[in-house]
Amino acid sequence: MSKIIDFIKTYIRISKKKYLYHSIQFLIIGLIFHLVFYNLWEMKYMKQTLESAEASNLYVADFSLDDPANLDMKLEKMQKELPSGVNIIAPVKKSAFTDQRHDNTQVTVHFLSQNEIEQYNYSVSNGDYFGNEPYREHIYPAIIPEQLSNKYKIGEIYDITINKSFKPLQSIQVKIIGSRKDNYILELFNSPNIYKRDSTLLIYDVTGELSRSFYEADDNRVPIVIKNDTSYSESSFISLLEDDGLDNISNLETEILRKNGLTYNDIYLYITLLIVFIPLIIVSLASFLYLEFQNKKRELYIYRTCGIDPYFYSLSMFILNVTFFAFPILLQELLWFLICLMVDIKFIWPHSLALIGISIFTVVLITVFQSYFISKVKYDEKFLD
Amino acid sequence: MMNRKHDDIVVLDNLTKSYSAHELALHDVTLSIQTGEMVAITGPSGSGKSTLLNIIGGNIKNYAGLYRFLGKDFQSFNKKEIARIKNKHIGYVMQNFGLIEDMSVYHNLKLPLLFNQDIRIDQIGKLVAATLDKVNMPNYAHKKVRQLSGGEKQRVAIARAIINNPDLVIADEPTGALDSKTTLTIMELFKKLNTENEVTFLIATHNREVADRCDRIIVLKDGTIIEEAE
Repeated sequence: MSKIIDFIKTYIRISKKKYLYHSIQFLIIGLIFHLVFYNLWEMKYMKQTLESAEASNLYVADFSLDDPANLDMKLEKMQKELPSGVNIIAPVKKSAFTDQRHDNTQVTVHFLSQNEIEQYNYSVSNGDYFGNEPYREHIYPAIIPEQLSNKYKIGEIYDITINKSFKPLQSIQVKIIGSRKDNYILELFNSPNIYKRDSTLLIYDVTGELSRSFYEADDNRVPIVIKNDTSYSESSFISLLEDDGLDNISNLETEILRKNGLTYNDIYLYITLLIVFIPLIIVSLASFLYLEFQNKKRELYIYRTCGIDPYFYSLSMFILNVTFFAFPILLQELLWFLICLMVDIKFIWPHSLALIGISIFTVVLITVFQSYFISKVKYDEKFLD
Repeated sequence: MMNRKHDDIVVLDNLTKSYSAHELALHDVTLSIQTGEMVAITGPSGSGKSTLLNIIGGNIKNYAGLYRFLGKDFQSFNKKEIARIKNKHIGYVMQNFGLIEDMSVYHNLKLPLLFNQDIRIDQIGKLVAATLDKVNMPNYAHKKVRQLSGGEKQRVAIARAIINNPDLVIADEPTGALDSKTTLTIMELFKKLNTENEVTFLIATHNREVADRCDRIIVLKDGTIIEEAE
């Protein structure tokens, strides 16, 4: 091995800086790759969540009333007055906190009504979705994120203490009926958006009693979600709701996409960077290796005349290429992993494996070319100049 | 496989080499070189000297006829075996030295030792020093090749050729770029290595004086041996 290292040092003695420059390029492009594909991956689930919830037909509107305690009754009355095809899904609710923690995060609970479980139709990776199992009194069906599967087992019943403003409200019993891998949920309170919640239990509030404490009431205004299954245009539909005393009406999909506009713009920037950088890097690497080969023809011929073993040469080139073209990718993976930990975003293994795979493929390809071309260096009178 | 005390180190039988349909570089060359011999190949430019040396040195493999090295058909060697032969059994002194100019003498001499699987890395320093002693350049190890004179470069090239203690040293116009005084020094060095280390030498040269210092002279013209003299 020490001979190989010695030979590599001899081989790159003139072009060390160029190899280093390409290493840094690989490191940077790896990080850009992660940024782009992480955002694309996030957007994919955001779109899936929006489509699955048919969010283009959903509207959020503020409902004003004298006493929020009468909300359910008022909504019932209002629903009767609305034309066919216009349905009130549910009032917007805050998340409830539990007394449990997971990975330094408070475990929260997101209550869903009958309408919501049908409307949002969240995907389940294990077990069942809500509505398939008969309700046993005071035992609420719950779906957990897979991250909590060590804490809660499917089929088991658990006591959970629900807090409000960090004061215990009540203890409820939940039965875990399924788990989710991609924990994107629609969170409509405060500022509607789609969030990834790895510590949030979805609980089907079958009776509707639990949710009441968490309605987002502010100055006697409660935001509610309404579905438009009519053929009304958006403006007509908004006018209709305004006539019924609702205000601040906005389409949920439009609102969420608008909020994430920045993410879209970032993606365009990153994709442009990738489109520009990747061919540049390929051309720059290929021309560097080609020129390196041309400049080294005489030296390669001298190596051959001195009896360099083809296996020794290939192995040396492989180690050289791994050091300068694969190691930066591994280093970049480590950096990205630390970034993910620090800013609390998901480290996506398939992306990392794809990058490592591409770098290993590049290393093997370059080594094969180098091993092939050394045998093609012919004796040339020009070498003697 | 290889035995230093083999009678015929190189045997060529009807060796023919062409670079194109109309260009015959060597035609029916038959000769044998014995261990410990010092043989000169002479002839005008384009007579096929370098081609012959490159075939014997294992740099050219496409030829017709038979070439036996230490009793074995050279065509039967695979790439790995050829590399091993070139590293351990054949030393090659190229025209215009064939040294890597930006490297030191030490690093140039180290190359064949790096490629020799029987040499450990901790032996390299001693072997380089011992070989530089043989070519009377004991204090040159850390000098850059580009700082050396033509005669010094040639001695470094010879040192690199003999560093793995080969059976055969091939020298292609070793004195072509040197003045007559340095030529004499180089030939004395060849003779010393030939007699003291029993190294077989095959030297291609235009220089009659160089040829006259060898045991045998083979004259090539248009790819054919036209004369052979002791």
